[in-house]
Amino acid sequence: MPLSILQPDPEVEPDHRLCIEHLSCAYPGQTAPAVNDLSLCVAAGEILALLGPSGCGKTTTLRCIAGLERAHLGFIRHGEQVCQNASTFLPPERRGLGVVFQDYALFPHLGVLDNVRFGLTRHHAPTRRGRTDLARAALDRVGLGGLDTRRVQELSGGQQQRVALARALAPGTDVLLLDEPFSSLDAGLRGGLRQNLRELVDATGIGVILVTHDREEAMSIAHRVALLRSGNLLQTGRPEAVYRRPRSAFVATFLGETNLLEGDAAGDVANTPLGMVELDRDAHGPVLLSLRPEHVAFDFDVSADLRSTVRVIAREFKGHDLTYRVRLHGQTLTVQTDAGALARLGDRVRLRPVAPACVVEDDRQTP
Amino acid sequence: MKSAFCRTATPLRPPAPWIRLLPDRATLPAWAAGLGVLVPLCFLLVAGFTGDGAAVRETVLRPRTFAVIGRTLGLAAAVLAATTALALPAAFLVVRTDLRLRRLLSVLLVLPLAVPGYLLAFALLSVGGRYGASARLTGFELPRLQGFTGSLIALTLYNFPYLFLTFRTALRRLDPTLHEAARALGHGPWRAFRAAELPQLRPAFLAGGLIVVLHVLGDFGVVSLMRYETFSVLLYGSLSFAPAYAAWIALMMLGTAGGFIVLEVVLLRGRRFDPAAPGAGRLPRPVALGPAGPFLLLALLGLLAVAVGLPLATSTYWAFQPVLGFVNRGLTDPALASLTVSLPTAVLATVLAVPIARLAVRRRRAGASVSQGLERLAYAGYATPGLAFGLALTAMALTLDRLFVSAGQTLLYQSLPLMIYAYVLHFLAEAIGPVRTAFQQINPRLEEAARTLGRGRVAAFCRVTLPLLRPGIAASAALVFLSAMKELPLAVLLRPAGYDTLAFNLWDLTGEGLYAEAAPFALVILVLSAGFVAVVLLADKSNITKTK
Repeated sequence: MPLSILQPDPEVEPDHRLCIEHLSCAYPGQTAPAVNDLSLCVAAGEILALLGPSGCGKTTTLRCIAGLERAHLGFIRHGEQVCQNASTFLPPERRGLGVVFQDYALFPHLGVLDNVRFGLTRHHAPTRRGRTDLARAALDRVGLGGLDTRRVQELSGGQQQRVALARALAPGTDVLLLDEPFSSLDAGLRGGLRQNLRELVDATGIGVILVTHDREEAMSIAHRVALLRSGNLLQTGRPEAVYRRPRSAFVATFLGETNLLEGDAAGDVANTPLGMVELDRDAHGPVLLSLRPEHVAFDFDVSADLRSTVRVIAREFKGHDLTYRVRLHGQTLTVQTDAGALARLGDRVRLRPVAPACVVEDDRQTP
Repeated sequence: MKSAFCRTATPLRPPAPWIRLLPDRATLPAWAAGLGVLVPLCFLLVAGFTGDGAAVRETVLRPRTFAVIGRTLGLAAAVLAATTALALPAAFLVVRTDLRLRRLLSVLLVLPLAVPGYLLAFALLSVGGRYGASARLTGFELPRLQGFTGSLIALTLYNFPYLFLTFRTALRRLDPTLHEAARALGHGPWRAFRAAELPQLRPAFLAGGLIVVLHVLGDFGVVSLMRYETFSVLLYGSLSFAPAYAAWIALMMLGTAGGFIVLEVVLLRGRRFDPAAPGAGRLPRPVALGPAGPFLLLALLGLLAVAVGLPLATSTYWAFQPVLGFVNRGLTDPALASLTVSLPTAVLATVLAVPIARLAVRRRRAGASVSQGLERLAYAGYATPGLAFGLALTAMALTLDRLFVSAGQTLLYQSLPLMIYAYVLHFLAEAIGPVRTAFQQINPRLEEAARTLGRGRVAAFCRVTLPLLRPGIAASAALVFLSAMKELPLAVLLRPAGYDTLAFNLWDLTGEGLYAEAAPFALVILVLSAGFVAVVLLADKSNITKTK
């Protein structure tokens, strides 16, 4: 039986809005924990995207933070208030966190204004009129002013999402938890709403944890992404950094298309089926390398090493660029070039890395 | 370092299911409802073993007991066969053929459900014979139906809607490609139906059939008026002179009911009827009836005429006949008595149903089978035959009275609270249905959203879930209220002095052959039944519009 880790509560960092450490949560009847020893913090004015495939524990993490699920181990602090540690468990209503659910969970028996006013109490404004004004202000902030007499069923999906956002913001929280808030909207609407959210965060300085399985969403909106798999936090960092220097093969493939090459490293180069490849760091012995499709180019220099010749097996024209699938020793690689580099199906060409390959940990799941 | 000892830390390995069950407050109402039925039933054993053991054994094991067992099982089998013979063709005609008026009939054929059995018995008894309505009106003497035939007809007419409903649902859900595949494999239309579709109807038959059999077993009104001696009649008859014998008969009734429930489970076990692949999702081509159509339509309308029209016609006729004058019972006192019992029953049963329905719908991730079992426990009061439950409660009341009050005094025995207690547990299952449906339509995230907006557990429930449950709660309360107004066996056994309900009066007067005196009660009960149907249809309709 694992005991709760006996350690002092972490120090309060002035910049951190929400801090969780060593969070673990297991559902009864399941042997593997849904969330395993997860630690992360959100700063003011920051959007942190919890990214991962479905079932990786990201929604469970969010529910644990909100107090809707009881993490059996771990520490959660909102501002200077401890929400959970070994001796405390605050119920959700005392955590002061704003939550937007995936299906928004708008109260169907209440109108738009009553939905937004739901979280406001005497503590926020002593009079009903004052609470109404606060709710109207929250609606204005998400661009829904004037809709307050409507029934929630009459709203479009995007409007419902903004009502849910206004409802979560109205009590004046400084941390928002968003569970796949854009997943049920059509693609055209998503872009605009993401932009709105980013502007809102920049303007108000709240901290946001956003759960999503959509890597483009995470990378386009978040200041930092945290990648989860099977309840484990694999890597955190700015989207660009995580994309460029993925820690493991899973991170590399989850964040975008990549070519995984096995090679034998000696210092800052490795011997791979593609020939000698420059590495992003020193390594020795057998390594797994990640080389993004846009970091490989066709090489028309005939004098070079012939060993790494590949055959073009597929070609996808995408307008501004071209994607080729090429065959190399039984492995299919992807090459992305601008429309200039021409090769036909069946051509034998040679590949040349144009950027250093990234050494990654091999966490590919064996089927 | 702050005190960080692991008070809230729970072991990673989940504890055994029964341990998790015990401290969970959510399961308490279900436990209360189940034990509230099962504990009194234990007092039947107490009553059965009091008195002279040898004498009791002799009375229990006499041939008459076995004859009654045979008659009860025979009646149940006959009713099951007759209801199936009516319900299966009727459901098929309504769902799968081009019968005219089939949408209307689909609703109308459920109506007999609302007419209580003893009212049908009143209609059948008062129409035939030398002094019957038909002889007095037309001079033509219809045979006076009594005994086995009378019981069979009355019980069939009010029970066949249960099977009709389950068959109708099952037929609608059948994937038409099954039939088409059987036809393509060389079966003719009849053989294809028998080989491919009939076996699929088995769960529907077993579910509906169990309800029918339990109703026959629990019936008291019909068999007592028809003077056909089954368990109920024998139990009621031996109540005053041989209470231990009555207790043994009640135990036999319970054993039989339990046997049927186990039988249903056993017959369904290990069989899978869920489709192997997603179906075509289209409706099969309706079977063309051709010239037989109008005759079949007439047959169904005739069935309705007997099941609904006859009780209506006879009670109206007798209501305008002169009364003999030596029995004079006003409607007011019985109506008040019925109200005094039914209103608290409706409120309490609904209040109890809400947490049980919540448990059933929002089951915990791992405890699914456990909470399902607990929900079944709440149906114990429905499955227990009314007379047996009533007798058990009487036995319990007498035992407790002996402990707490001086001899000769009664506290619980024949008290109104005891009667209401019995009614609540008996009708709890009816209250769970609509509340449960309402719960299923409420997104569980709503309550969580209210929690994250600063409302406590109770406030979140009251301000979000309760308003959304209101239609379901209203339907539950109305259903229980109307059923309680019509309840007979529990009223016969448990009514306190001065609480002769409407149903009791109708049964009592019909038993004496005083049809003109009984008719006003029959009319009132028919009006209540119409209200029952209206509530069911309205609740059904509001569900349909909500899901759209």
